[in-house]
Amino acid sequence: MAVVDSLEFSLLSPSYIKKLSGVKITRAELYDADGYAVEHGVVDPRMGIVDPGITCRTCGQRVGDCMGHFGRIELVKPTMHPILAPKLYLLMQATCKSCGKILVPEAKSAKEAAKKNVVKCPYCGAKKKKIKFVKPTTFVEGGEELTAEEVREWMEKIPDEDLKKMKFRGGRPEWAVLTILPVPPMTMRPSIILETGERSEDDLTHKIVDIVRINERLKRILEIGAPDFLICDIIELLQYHIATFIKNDLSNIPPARHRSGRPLKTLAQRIVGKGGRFRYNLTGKRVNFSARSVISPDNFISINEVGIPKIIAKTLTIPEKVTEDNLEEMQKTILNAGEYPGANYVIRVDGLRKKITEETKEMISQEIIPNYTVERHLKDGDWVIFNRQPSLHRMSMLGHRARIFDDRTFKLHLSVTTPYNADFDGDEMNLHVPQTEEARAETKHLMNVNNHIRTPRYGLPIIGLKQDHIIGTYFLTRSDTKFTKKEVANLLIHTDLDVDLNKENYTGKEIFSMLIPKMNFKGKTATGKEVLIEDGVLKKGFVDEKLVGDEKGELLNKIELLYGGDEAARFVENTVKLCLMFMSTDSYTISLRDYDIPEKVVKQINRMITSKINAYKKNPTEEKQIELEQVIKDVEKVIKENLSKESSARIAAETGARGSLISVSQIIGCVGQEKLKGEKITRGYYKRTLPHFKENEITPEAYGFVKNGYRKGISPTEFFFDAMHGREGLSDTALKTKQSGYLERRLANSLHDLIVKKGGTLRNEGGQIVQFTPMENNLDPYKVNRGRISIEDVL
Amino acid sequence: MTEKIYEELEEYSKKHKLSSEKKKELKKKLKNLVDKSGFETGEALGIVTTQSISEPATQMTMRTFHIAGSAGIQMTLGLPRLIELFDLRKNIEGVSTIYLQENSKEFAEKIALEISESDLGNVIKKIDYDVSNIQVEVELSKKDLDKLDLDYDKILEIVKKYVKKYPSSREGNKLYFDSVKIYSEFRILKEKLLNLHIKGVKGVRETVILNRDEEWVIQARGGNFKKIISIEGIDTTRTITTSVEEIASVLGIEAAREALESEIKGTLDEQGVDVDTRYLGLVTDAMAVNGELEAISRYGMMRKKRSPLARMNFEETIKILFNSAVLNRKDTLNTLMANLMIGRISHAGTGTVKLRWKL
Repeated sequence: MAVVDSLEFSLLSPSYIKKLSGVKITRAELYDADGYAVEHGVVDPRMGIVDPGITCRTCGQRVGDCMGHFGRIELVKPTMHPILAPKLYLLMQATCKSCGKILVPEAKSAKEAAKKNVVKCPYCGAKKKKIKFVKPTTFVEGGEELTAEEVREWMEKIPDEDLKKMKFRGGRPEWAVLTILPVPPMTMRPSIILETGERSEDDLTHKIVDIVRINERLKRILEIGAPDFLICDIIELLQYHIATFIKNDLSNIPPARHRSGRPLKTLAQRIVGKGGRFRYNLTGKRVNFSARSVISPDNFISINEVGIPKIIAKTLTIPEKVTEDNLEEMQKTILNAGEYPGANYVIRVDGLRKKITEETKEMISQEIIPNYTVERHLKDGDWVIFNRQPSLHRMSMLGHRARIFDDRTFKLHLSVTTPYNADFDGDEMNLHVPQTEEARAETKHLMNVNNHIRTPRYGLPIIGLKQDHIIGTYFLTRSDTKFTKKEVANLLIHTDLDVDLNKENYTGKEIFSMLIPKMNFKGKTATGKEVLIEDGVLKKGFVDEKLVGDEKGELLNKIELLYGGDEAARFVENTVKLCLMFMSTDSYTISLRDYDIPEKVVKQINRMITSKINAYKKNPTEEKQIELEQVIKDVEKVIKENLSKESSARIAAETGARGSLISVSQIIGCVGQEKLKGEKITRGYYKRTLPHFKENEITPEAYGFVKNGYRKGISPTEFFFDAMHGREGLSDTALKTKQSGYLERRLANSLHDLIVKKGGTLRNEGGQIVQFTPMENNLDPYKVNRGRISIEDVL
Repeated sequence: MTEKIYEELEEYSKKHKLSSEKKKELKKKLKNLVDKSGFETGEALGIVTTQSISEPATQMTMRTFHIAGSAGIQMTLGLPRLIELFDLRKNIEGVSTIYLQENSKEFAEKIALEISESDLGNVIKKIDYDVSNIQVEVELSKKDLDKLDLDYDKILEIVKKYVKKYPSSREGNKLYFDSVKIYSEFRILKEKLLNLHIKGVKGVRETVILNRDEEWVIQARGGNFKKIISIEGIDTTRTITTSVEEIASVLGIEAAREALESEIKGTLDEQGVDVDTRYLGLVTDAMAVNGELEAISRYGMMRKKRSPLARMNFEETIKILFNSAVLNRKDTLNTLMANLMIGRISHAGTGTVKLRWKL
């Protein structure tokens, strides 16, 4: 098969257009009275076919195979090309009209020659007149308008060597003055048949009809010798139609419109922008073998598995080659067509595709021989690609093993929601089934979830335990947790551990230690307590977010480093299952009581706040305002000292499972200063923020300071300020996505060619070295934390 | 890098008195780790870098804020600042952080006074036009002059230098300009006098003295880094501005690249975004590779791309298409984007090698 090696861009010459085209278009009609396409009309069938059932008259192929063929309109008068006209303007400024030679022989570019403002041609001595360019297609030479014909004659005079000097390399400049207009094939502008039976033509067809009509009228008018002004008008009209046919949003001329008043979408607009040919069709491709559904959680499948509904599994297939070894098995799946582990199609050795139905399944199962391909249903263990949009990083598309369930949603392990940024409030995700052996291999080895536990962004595990699971590890590994042998057996029932329970009593730490592979670890919890693991045994401390949480997980980090992704994944799965079993034996909940602090402390907090407020009232300076805003930190300190250590809210915050102590102090203590655009709230009414306050009031309350906490309840004015702040946040995110999306597009387009080449240097597409050692030290953050290796890692 | 790790090993073994056997074993383990942690050929680092920067960018705030509790000059922060930096936007008012050779508040105040720009308008109390004498009378404020450490004669000297059209003289705290014939002339003169630069670095609109980690520093808004860095008493090795453009023109490309990297890092850190610093090094290296900083935009790096297809896919499709035709450009399909469009496998990742056995 021929492979494209390079693409070259140049101008089309009239003779080439003639060669390219199959038919000369001379009639503006589309269909005759019987509804057939008119010969030499704008929808002449020789330009390709779009309706099924007929074969193309030029190439003899059917719909879908026939790519279409160009036609041509031979223009009676040459016409300017609206986009190339500025290029000709440059040439006209730089050359002599009478001999066509460049005015500045030593110039290296047209621009340079044009800038010199030579008044006399150094070759023929002709006087150079000033040229004015009126957008989009008109040239004026010394007050006199040049016709396209004159421009064309001028361009013809320019010698090739001067063109080279002026860097006009893509062909002769006179080709930019159109004499023959290529008519795009029908496949490019298919007419559609509406429900009413009417035909509706494409925008391009409409435009071509206009061009042909005016062109023919011009021809007639010239033949009968009409007055000049009439001819001029018609030429101008032809120019307009051709200009808008090529680009319909030119400045200085009104866009051509459809009967309904909608501007036509012509050639240039089809190409540009997000919905254009480049971005929509060439860089974005549609696929088959994909599915989309709502996701729901399932913690009892592996992190690299995905639960797939049976209905989907019966539609998505995997092509499997029949060999002597699997012949029998394949026959069985074919016979099971219609039921679940069946097959949908068989592809014969000659490439013919046969559907397996109730009626044909017996016959086909007998027909297959080695080298046939059977498209069988998706089975447990098949590798698929799972994706959630927006796909912001490569962990948004990961390889999973299929697990078929008799259900309606995709099932996903909770720990793998972080890389996808997914939750289960109605999120939908996409599934793709790789169809070739290479694609399957890449999915299995390069995209496997287990190989993406570590993110290349900062080199720590992005997959880890979340929320409940972290609370689980915390309670489990606390010193006071003890179990009997029977309880331990029940806890470990869902893990894949194979241990002898030879003791009567176990501590939580001992159970957790069973999950840890043989290793040493020294670290700290989120609250700064020391954690020590020696030889795979948790000796000291408890386990929280800092050790096993998602986006942090230092313990997980070390397991991945020492034993690889599969072992880390196993650790995560086992811990999750253990924690869930453990948490279901006990209860954990958050209620208002978890925010109780002694009345005395409430008063103390209130005193702290009022003293700062009063201080500001007395002396309303910047410093006092800052002090006032800082009061929430003091409140947090007081709450930290006085809130019960067993408060569920506190445990959730301190283990990193959910929430923060700041939120807790906003609930118990005070919400603090509400801000808009980073400043205290000052806008609103004349000299005040709300009508509840006096004009020029200087109390903090009048400028958005909320002194109450959410638990006690905030006042109506405070509520209003709180809502202002909340609304700012909402509009912020709406704006932000747009901006950061564009930043990403720019970064990606600028940097996508930076690749580590053979020899280990980072080069761009031109082979230019950007970094001799990639990332300064050739340590991949995807493989090792932040590209830093220390002794700790191997101890 | 590897040497550093082994040095660390030596230190560790000395501290813990490891046997040479144990040390050898650790060294082998370290070597293994280093060897397997390198980049593989074909790694599309550019894309990984893009994702590592832009994925957290979606979490950044839009606000240009001023963190409560920290004094200093307000600066653009968050996503807008990040975009500004990648755009290499010109004419942004930079904020200079000036370190001093002498660590005292008094010295800082003295330098700050020297730096901050003052116009004659700052010390003028009143300007009057005396029609009968066709004379302009300017009353100066002694208090304001003292603040700036200037006296009447000094002002007269400056005024004489810049206002030559009208003969000037002084009497007490008043300056006089003679032969100002008509009112419109007075208006022009008044405008000129009010904006007459009398002291400090031109363009410095605001200065703040800060105590940062036991050190007195000055922050100055409104750049003119070139002038600032030439003032005596300043620690020129550390004084810096947020304007990458100015650093490029004063200190050169290497310094500019470094400054750009640290500005991006500062912006990300301030937002609490965790990104491996080396990615920022990579982006800035790519931006600086041609000897001058190129923006991440159609005017910068995209313009330098060799592949017309890749450029067309980005922005200004029609313009690039027609320019390519006139210039007879060729796309040799070396870029990922061009290959994607044509339908070939790109030369990255597993595409760098071919399968000998077609499956």
